[in-house]
Amino acid sequence: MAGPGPVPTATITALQATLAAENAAIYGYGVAGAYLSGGLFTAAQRDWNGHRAAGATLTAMITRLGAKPAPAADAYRPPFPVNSARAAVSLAALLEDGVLTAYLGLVALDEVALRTFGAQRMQASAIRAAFWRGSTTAFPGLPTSALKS
Amino acid sequence: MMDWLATARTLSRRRLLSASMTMLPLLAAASCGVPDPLAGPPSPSRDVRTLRASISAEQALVEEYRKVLGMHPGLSASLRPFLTQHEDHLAQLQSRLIVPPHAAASPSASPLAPVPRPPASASAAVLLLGNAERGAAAAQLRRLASATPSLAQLLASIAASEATHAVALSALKPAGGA
Repeated sequence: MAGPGPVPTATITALQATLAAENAAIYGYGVAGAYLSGGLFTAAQRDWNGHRAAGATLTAMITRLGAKPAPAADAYRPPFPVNSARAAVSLAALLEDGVLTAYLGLVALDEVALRTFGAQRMQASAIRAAFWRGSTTAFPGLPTSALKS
Repeated sequence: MMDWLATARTLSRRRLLSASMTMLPLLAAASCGVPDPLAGPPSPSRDVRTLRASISAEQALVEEYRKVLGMHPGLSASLRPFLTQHEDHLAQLQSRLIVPPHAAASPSASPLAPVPRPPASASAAVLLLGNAERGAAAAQLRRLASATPSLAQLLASIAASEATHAVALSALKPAGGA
């Protein structure tokens, strides 16, 4: 993936943004898991593990490209109070939306391998989002402003 | 085991590809069948060809859903949301096709390409749709390389939607098989 020439800044920026979204998701699933039990707790744990693996992959990719992976923040503030199982499930869906949008950024890069990687990760994230939301959507990760009416 | 799975996926992709291939002559007929005294249109860019391929694939999926629903109306509540989302995909793709309208005539309206009847069993029909969704998502990913950044993002999002459909379909347990 790292060709002979210098790595474009856009590539590093997009990978760092994706790592940041994964770090937010790792933290967020930790918060959500505290309010879940049974099958939903198991699902949160499964997705938490998935995001940790994805974060490690991105960290390795950024390092390999000669950049320094941005560290995770100490804490992330959820956009709404999370104090129930219901709120925890909403948070999980929202975390996936953030991750989806970040990987969408990779799909716009020139490197075909990164486009494919981003699109594959989008599929994994969309499947998780659909699980937490209980329904599928037509355009996972795409802001409505990107759609023509 | 892995080999078998890979083969099965390739097969279902081929099936989908052959479905869209049957539409190619229709597209060609739509754009070149009418004698045009003026010079032919400029050859479409790579991006437009990619877009056209995606449009054909979505049309094939929409057609397949409609056939299954025609044969198994009992599946309507489960399948209708997916069909609606495919119609949204198709509308977005078609809205990006900036070519003379006659060149983008819908091939699905023509009776010339008979698609095989869906299986008589509801569960087999759902299985077929699941395979078609997986095949469609995989095909979108292969088109990423030849798309502009903006089209690539739309295709990746549509592929993600199709991946969620495939998972939802595999969880579906239609009552009354045959």
